[in-house]
Amino acid sequence: MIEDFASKNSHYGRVNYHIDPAAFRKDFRSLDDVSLKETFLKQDDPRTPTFNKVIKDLNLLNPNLLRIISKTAFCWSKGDFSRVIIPIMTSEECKITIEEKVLTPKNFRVYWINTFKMHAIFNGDGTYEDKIFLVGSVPLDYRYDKKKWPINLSRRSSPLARYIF
Amino acid sequence: MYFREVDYQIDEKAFQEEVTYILSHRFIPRDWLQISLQTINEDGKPEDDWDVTIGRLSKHDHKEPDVRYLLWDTPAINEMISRFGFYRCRLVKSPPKTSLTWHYDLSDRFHVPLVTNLGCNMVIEDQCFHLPAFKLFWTNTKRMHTSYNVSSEWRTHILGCVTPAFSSLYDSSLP
Repeated sequence: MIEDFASKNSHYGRVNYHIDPAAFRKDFRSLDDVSLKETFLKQDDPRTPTFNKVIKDLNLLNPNLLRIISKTAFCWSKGDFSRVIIPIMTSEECKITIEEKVLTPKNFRVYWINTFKMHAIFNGDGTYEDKIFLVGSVPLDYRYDKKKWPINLSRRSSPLARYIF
Repeated sequence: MYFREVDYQIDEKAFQEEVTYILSHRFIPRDWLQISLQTINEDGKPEDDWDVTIGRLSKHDHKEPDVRYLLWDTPAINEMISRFGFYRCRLVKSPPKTSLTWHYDLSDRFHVPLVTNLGCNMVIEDQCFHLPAFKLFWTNTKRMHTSYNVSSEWRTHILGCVTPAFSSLYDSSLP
């Protein structure tokens, strides 16, 4: 799915994976508190079966719900991971920039973001509505050689290794 | 292309000194975000008019081209404004980790970044770009756009409106 388009030079790409919006919304509503900027999702949380399936299907590491507060912007730090994002609540005014490219993600679609390039996300919605994305990491090696995937993350020093499935 | 560098040499030292001079006035609050560099009154004084045209234009009675009288004793900045006929010029600060709303303006803008970092970008339609410091840029802000600052420092820049004649020199979409 991701490897269909991911390459060293891609900025972003749409992942060919279908999300059921109703089931996704149901999972989101089942969580008690997502008021933080980042809410980490527990592995196999019984309240979120759809999230669990997506995370497992896409082999996402360190999955979390990201809240992008109105009129704020930030960037993800660089590391050994690129990102997969799935907007749950977004609008045309919330965009992701990767170098000179601009992505306007749509609700319940899956995107791969090459976070090895300079990137940022901003919520320019004048209605003061926060945006919510499900975000997960995919390791560097995933971009280059799908035969290596899934790699043995326990050998890596990254603290994200504990999220291996 | 939604932005172009203008062939104009900015005197970096003079600009810095003049901005320091503006900020040295006691009537400028410490938490300022915008300061007018021009006013609507021919005999306007900085202490009265420093905030005359900041914020949304709909809050004001005047139109953008009415803000054309120089307000401060800042020769280098004033020379640039006068040479190109800029109007409604302001000194603007953007806090770290913030974004403007996605919007369009009634006229194109010029920008002179004074303090900027990687992570301070403008986005116009489907183009994202960084404007380096102490250079003069024309930007096509009649298109949908925003700017954001994801760095950890404040961004400070001078901006203002440009005339249609000035825009026509840089806007390749015009006939």
